[in-house]
Parts: sequence; structure tokens; C-alpha cells
Amino acid sequence: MPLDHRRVRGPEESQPPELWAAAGEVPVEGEEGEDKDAAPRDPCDLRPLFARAGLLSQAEGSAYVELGGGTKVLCAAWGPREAAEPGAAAPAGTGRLLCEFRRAPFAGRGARWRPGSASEREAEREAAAALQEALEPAVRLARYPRARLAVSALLLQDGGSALAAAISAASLALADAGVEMYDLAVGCALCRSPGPAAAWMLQPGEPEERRAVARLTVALLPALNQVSAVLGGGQGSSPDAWVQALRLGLDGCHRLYPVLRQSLLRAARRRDATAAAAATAATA
Amino acid sequence: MATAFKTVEPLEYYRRFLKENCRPDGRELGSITTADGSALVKLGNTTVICGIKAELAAPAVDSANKGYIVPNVELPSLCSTRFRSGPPGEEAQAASQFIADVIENSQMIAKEDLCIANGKLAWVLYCDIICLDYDGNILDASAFALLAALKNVQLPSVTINEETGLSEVNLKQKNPLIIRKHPVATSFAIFDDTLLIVDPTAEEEDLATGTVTIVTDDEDRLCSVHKPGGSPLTGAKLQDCITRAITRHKEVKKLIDKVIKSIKPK
Amino acid sequence: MASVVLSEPEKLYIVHGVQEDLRVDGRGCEDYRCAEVETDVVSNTSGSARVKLGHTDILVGVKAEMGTPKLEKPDEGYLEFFVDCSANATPEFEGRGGEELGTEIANTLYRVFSSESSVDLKSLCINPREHCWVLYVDVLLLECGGNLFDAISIAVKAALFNTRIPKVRVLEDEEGSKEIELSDDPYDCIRLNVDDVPCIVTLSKIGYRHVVDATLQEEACSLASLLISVTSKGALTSMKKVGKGSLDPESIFEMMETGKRVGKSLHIALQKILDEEESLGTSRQKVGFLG
Repeated sequence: MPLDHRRVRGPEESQPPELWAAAGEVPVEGEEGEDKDAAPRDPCDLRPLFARAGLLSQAEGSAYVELGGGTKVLCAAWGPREAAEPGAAAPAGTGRLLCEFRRAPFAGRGARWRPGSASEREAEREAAAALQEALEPAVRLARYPRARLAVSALLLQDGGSALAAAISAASLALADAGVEMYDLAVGCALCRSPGPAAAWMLQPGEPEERRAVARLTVALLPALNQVSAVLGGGQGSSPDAWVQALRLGLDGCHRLYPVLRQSLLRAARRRDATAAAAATAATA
Repeated sequence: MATAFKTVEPLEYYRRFLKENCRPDGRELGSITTADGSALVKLGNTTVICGIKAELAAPAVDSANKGYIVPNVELPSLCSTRFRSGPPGEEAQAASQFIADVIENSQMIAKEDLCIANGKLAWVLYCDIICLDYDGNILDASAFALLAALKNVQLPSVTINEETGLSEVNLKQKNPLIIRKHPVATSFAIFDDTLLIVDPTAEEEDLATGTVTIVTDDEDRLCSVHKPGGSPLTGAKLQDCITRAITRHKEVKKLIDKVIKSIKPK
Repeated sequence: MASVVLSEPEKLYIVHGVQEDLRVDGRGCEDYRCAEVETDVVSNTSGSARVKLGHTDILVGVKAEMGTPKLEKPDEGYLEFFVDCSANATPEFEGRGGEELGTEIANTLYRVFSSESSVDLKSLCINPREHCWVLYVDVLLLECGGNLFDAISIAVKAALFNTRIPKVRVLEDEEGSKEIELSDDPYDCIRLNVDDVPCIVTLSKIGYRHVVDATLQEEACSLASLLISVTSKGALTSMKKVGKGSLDPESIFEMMETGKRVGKSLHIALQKILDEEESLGTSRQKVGFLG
């Protein structure tokens, strides 16, 4: 592998301490967490979601979404800019939406994610592509001919359902930037634990997600009732079971929608208030 | 108004926003449970997060009794339009190098403390500093975030099993890191070759004819003076900067102590 | 991805046709094009297959190599996918143009094969924690004529069916050191059970209906498609929405039902062909690339 001179490098190889933990210690810890978690957990329960829009000073629009499981995602969005290479890839007459997804090296459990490594780049690229598919139907790209819009998401901590949180945060950031949209894209993740009778669970936490045999992320434009993203896989089951999972996920999106809308409203009010304060200060 | 105030009474201004914006309870976003230590620092609008992950590795051959500290500063495209996505750019590389120099020069952590078994096993502290909102003075914020994050690193205890020669980690027993020095960076923007202002915003940095960053430690000693080009500075002015940096060190130290104390009892 | 540019009237013609369950090439909405499958076309692989689906032409080679099991799964082998979008397929792939599509397809294949039951990975383990078989699945796009994903999944399944992995034994002497012995008989080999290997069915939404196995022209009329991987028993193992558009929840449910039905019959047809070809044995006349 070629050396990366643009970063301060450490030793060639290093392992997370969990690898050498006294036998049985780590899994036991996980099990305990699960029992505490699983017993009272209703599969239809949504983890608390905290959303705040318009918190970065440099970005035109921004949003921060945190899920109860510990997932933290920060998104920034920039409104239309003249496309650097006109006409590339995008059909004439519509704008392009550029999505970026970064994962902080310390965001995952266990080993540090090496920034710039092939696997990390791959993971980020895949997440960025998924983000783009989920957001494109929500944005009125036809209103921005020959322009590009940019969204970048930064995953600060992965506590499960990271992609779903990123979708919600990114659409909030776009809306906060004043980009014309049909609706917010609300993301919601589900997973199914091993076991024949296991049901699908909404907004899984990281330990649940790790053990799951099947995972699904959906994104919905609630006002239009249009699904903008479906991405999932795992152990095979009948279409009916997947339909059920999908319904559960879409229902979850509907329930998250008001929270996101509220945060957007709050951001707009805050902005109005500061603008008004600035205006009065200027006249005074 | 505010800018004038800042120019006339920089320290007082600084003091005031430190009080307002560095929330001792800023844990909601600042605490990253997947990292071994973390901190979020806001200086005005500039926001920097530092997460530290500890891993185990064999020490380098030429320094068998030393661990590693690997600092990296990232300026992702998210924090400002001036940065592109992709590998770290020039400014990020320069900032990483600056932080690495601060660690090395101040001896804030004795690398020998990170060694577990001579020549066999040592800790690697990956300190990833990511800027979330870029509004100038990234160096002060990065150094501040690094120090605060190091202060709350908890390392699991590691013993080497005599019989098998394998290391055993006890995740339940955690020890804090020994911080030997508390270096604090203070940056000044130079205007028109003479006027100095502390904690420049991005706009001020762009307009300034030069910047200078002074790093001091607990005993008011200089750890580093970083002046990357720009307009020249007289000795007296530099002395003035150093005096101000020393005063600011005390403020920052007080704040860190307060924050650390506020999160300890849990 | 390779695409064609259609005028509005051309699109309208296709959309109206689909509405009447009559497509431009005379098919119904749930019909596949005529597919040609041939296995064992590349002699220096462990298994290979070439699939022609309309104008789409795919070559898949599987190479079995010895490697070390992954840390988290010490008693299993694993599969690696690599997709090469050669500039032969379409000029757009020249240089690094095909890279994005290549990784997208590879990622999709990883997701499709992520289910534990699809391939018995435990049978690929030789020696827990030390040695296992790694199957490198190389996909080469020779021509793109629409519906890449389905054609690739058919070719991958056929190539895995065709794969023969030499049998090895682990010998352990008194000191505990292990040695690996390869069987002398070249016909003494492991075959993979591909019964549970899923196939991908792509359903493209055109107008108010959805079609399977869309041609390039039909793909140009579709804003969103649903990709479903189905096993021969009709179980769904993964799904993904692709494209710029969004889908109605009800139509997704319908598409999943169609996908299951079409996928099942696709599996039956494919298995029949593969078994037929197998029964011909070595006497089979190979068609190869000039056929």
C-alpha cells in the first residue's frame, strides 16, 4: 500500500484492546446490555430523536441529528452553485445533487476506522450513494438547471441506524439552506434479530444491529407518501414478511416527521429573531 | 462595536466569550462513547471535536520503551466552503504538524507512560481532531480540544500473562492518563504590521497580514512560537504576545479544570 | 451507466405499450428476454459462466484460492467480488468511467450474498483460524443492453454451480504441526450447493406498471426501479431502490410479489438448463465466444 504522506501516521499495525480482553468478558458485557435493553423494548418503539437545524455558521444550511442509541450525525448543505463541469452526467435542464458521507475515525466501536484506507473510502462511497438515492427524489432539481447542490454528512458516533439518521439530517440541512424541495426525506432503520419468531425492530441500536440477521433502511417523503429509499438485506424471508417490515418502517417515518418539522420551524424562528435583533440594533 | 471592543480589550473579550460559549455542560455532542476520550470545543463559531481511540501495538525498534501519539487534524468540506472533500489539504496537514509539534515540544504526555511491556507492547493514542465549523483560529481550538480530550481518556489496565506471554486486558478497570503539562495555544492576527488581535475569526484571518501562535505551559514557559510568514513583528510586540498568552493560559486552564470536575462524578 | 437518449414521443410510445401489457419487443410485463447460458467457458478458472440476456453479455469467472479466514468468522471461507466494466461494453467506461458502476454492482453482490444461507461458507473452511478457501468472483461486462443486475446474478449463480474446488486434507503429525495435502485425483473435488443462491430481479416502474428485464430503452423511461434478490424457494434476501425517482408504498408491495413469482420461475428455468448441460458431461460441444 502506498504511504499516505498527508496524514500523521502511527505504527503500521495496532489492535483495539477489546481483542485481548479476558475471554468471555466482552460478549458477557454485550449480553447484559441486551437483556436490559431487550426486555422492555417494544419493537414498534422509536428511540428518542433529537434534531436541530441551522447550527453551523459557515454552511448555508445545517442540521444535527442524534438518536437515542448514541448515533450522532452532523450535516451541512450548500445551495445552488454553478456546476464546474456543465452537463456532465446530469441530463440537461436539471441540477446535480452531490452527496458526501464521512465517518469520523473514532465513530465506531472497536478498532479505529483508518481514514483514507481503501475499505474506509469504499464504505463512505457506498453510504454517499445511498444518501444520494434517498435525497434526489425530494429535491426539485429541475428548478436548478446547470447548477450543483452539495450535502455533506459527518458521522460522529455510530450507535446504530446511522444511514437513516444521515438521510433525515441531510434533508433537514437542505431545507435549512433554502433549497426547494417537495418534502423532507425521513429515514428510518429496522432490523430483525436471529431466531425464527423474531420480529422486526424499529431504530435498532448498535449491538442489535450487529447481531441482526436482516437489516432494512427506508426513507419516506411523508407528505407525498412516496418511498425514496429502500435498502436492506439479510436472511431470506417471504415477501409478506418484508412487506410487514416495510410498513413498520414507513410508519416509523411518519412518526418521526413532526419532530423534524418542528426543528426546522424552530431554526427558522431563531433566524428571524436574530435578523430582527440585528435590524433593531442597526436602527438604534 | 464588538470588533472595536475586541481590539481594545482582547483579553476581556476573550474572557467573556469563554464564559458564554465553552459550556461546562457541553457534553451532548462532545462526548463520544465509542472513543476512549473526547471533547468538543467552541471558540465563537469555530467548533472542533477531538476523539481519541487507544489501541495496542508493538513499540518501534529504536524507542522500545515508548508508546505512540498520532494526532491528525481534519478540515472536512462540511466545515467550510474553502475546503474540498478528499484527502487532507495543505492547511489540515499544517495543522496536524503543528499539533504534533505541540505534543512533542511540551511533553504533555511522557511517551514512556504509554509503554506497557518494554519492546513488546505499548499504547497508541489516535487523536483525531475534526473541525465542524470553521470560523478562524483553528489552531487554538484544536490544541484546546486535544488537551481536553486527553484529560478524559480512560485506558483499560493491561497485564502480561507470565506463562503464556499474552497480554490480558481488563476492560472494567480503567485508569486516567497522566497529563504532565497543559500547553495552551494563543493565536494573534497581525493587522497592518502593528495591530494585534487575539482569536481571529475566519474573516479577520483572511484580512490579516500575518498570524502568530504562542504555546505556553503551566510554568509560563514557552513551548512553541509558530509564525508562518506574514508581516514581521518587533521583539517588543512578540514579548507583548507572550505576556498575553501567559495570562490566557490561566483562564483556559481554569475552564478545563472546571469542565473536567463537572463530568467526573458520574 | 450505459444509457440511450430517447425523445418524448418515443418514451410515450413505450409507456403506452407497457400500459397495455405489450412491450416494444412483443413481451408481456413479466417476461424475460431469451437468455443464453453456458458454463465452463474459461478453462483456467475454478468455475465460469457466460450469460447473454438480449444484448447484455456477461462473463463470470470464479477462482478458488487458499487464504486465511476472517478474524470474526474463523470457521468460514468467504467470497470476494470484483466487477470490471470494460470499455468494450460502452465507451462511457473508458478510463475510470466504469469504476463507480463497478463498485455499485460489487456492493450489491456483497449484500445479496450477505445472508448466511446463500452459500455454505463453512464448507469452504479447511482449517479453522488458519486456512480457508476464498472464492474470487470476477464479473466482466462485455456488453450492456439493459438489466445488468439480473444478468450478472444469473451468471454468478451459474459460475458458482460450475465451480469445482480441489479437495484437500489436513495432516497433523505428532508435534502438532499441520500440513495440507492436495488430492491427486483432479476429479476429486468439492461442489458448491447453489440451491439457495439468490437471483436478482429488477422491476422497473414505467408509467403505472412495472416490468421485469427492462431493455436500455425501457430503462430510459423508468425513474425508479426496485432490485430484489429472490431464492429458488421464493424468499427475499435483499432489496434496494435504484434510480432518481421515488415509489409509492403500494407499488413496492406489488413489485415484491411480482419479483417473487418471476424469480421463482427464473430459478426453475436456470436450474433446468444447468442440469441439462451437466448431464451432457465432457462430450458437450462448447460454443464459446464465437457462437
